[in-house]
Amino acid sequence: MLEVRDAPPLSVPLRFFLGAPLFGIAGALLVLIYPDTALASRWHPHAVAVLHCFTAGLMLQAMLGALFQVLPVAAGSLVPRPRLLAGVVHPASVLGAVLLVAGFLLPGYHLTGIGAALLALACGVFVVAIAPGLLHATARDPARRLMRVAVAGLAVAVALGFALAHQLEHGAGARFVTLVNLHALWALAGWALPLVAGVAVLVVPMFYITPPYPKMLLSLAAIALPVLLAAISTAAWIGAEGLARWLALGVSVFALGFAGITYRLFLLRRRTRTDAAGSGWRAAMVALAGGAALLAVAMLASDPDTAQRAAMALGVVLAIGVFSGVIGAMLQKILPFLITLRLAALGLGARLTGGPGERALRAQTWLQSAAVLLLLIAICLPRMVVFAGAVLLLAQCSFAWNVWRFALAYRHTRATRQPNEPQA
Amino acid sequence: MASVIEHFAADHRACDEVFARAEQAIAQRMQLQAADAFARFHLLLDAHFRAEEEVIFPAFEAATGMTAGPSAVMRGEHGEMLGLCEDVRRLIIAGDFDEAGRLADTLFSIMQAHNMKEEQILYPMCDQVLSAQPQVVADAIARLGMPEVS
Repeated sequence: MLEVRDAPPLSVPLRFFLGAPLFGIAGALLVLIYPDTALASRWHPHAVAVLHCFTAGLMLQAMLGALFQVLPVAAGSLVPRPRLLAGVVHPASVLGAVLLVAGFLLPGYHLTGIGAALLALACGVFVVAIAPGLLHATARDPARRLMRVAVAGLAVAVALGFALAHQLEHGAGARFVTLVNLHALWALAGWALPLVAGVAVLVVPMFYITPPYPKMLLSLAAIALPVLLAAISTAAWIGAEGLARWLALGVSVFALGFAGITYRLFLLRRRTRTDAAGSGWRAAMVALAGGAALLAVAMLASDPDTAQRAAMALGVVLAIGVFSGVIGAMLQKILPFLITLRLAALGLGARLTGGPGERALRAQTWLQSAAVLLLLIAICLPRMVVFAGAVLLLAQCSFAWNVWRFALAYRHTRATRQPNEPQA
Repeated sequence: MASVIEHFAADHRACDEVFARAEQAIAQRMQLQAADAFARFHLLLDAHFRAEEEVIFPAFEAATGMTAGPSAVMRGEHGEMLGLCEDVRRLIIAGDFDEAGRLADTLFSIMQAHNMKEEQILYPMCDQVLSAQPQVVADAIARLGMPEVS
């Protein structure tokens, strides 16, 4: 039976959250180091390296940390021996992402293959460990269904990524391009999007006192999305490219619908106090609606140059604008929340002293939005790349600073405050 | 039979509504309205906690023998939240609206985590083990809502 105390120790999600922004900083630095190539083409290794700093690095770290926390308490799904599991998954995923990105930059040293293998190991161990709990979860709501889809999507995306890394190491096969497209599809629409949707269903109504998400619609979407992704994959694999492109528009509809519903819920929220995290969520939903439009352009444009630029812009909007944006906003809420719960459990009172102020959090949200806009401009105006990269670096440093300030404030509070009651 | 989860979860939402009004008044630095709205929230929350601690939890503990289980954890969190309520009340009276807003935000976060645990775990367990004691559940439900103020 699931117990109230099944939430993992704070150190488990924290180790993932504290490292996540470093990958964002690395991605921004790569844009500055390789301004001529980082945004030039989705196929250039430097662009692939930047993208994977955000996807295999920042997003994977933050989302693994969030799943460790959210699954037991919010989705009613037990994560067995979280400290031990995190002890395996965290170093393997960090090292895997670092080597994967290094492999794109330094071909010929088998770093891509080793990095992909470590990522496959980390994600494989994680998925196998949480699968029984997720399949027998007690919570009956769209959140649990969407999280199941996301975990399955992660497994497929990582498996496809591993196959791609193998091809990069041993020579690209005839279906390399199809594999790349399917890997991107499953990573962004099969893993990240349903996970963000599943978490949003839980936290947006809870933190902002909004009406609930339409349960029936999201439950249907949670069933339709994997069917759609499987249909797209099958069509692409058998060579029916035209059909795959049209089916991909269904993903756009899902993304647009989710963004629209979420934005509307924010308009209907009962907590009218504006905060940086809420602004971050809304900015990410605007970006998601833009991403849905870009996906349609990338799929249907007849001009190859337009399709190429739309695909680049789609990567920027989804990886940086939507998913990294939501993660930044979520951590602004979740970190003080987890820390105050921990302090209260230690009998140290729930007040955290010394965390980042609202102004610093707002700066992070604004810099993040500005960076995405500038990167989009830079795709069309390459002379803007350095400026866009510099703002992206500022945004990621601001994100890192805020995350670490929460952790430092926690450390300081624990060190200086006396317990007001015996520890349990 | 009336269910714990249905009525107590609805009361959570009612507390949220009153909290939102208090928080808005704090944000607008309207001291009298903030103090009044927050006092109403405090009363509503206190009535909710009393219904749990004086009726539901003892019956649950007697039926299961779990005196150091989830109900004990919830009691501890109730004390923490009431302590924070008192701090926010003092800050409103002192006119420190920035700190009152920050602390109210912390209180709200803790309250939501607490509510989620109750709604996902404890209330379904209570409905299961108290199914043979409908009068206990009805008594607890009758205590919810804004208490009469003489």
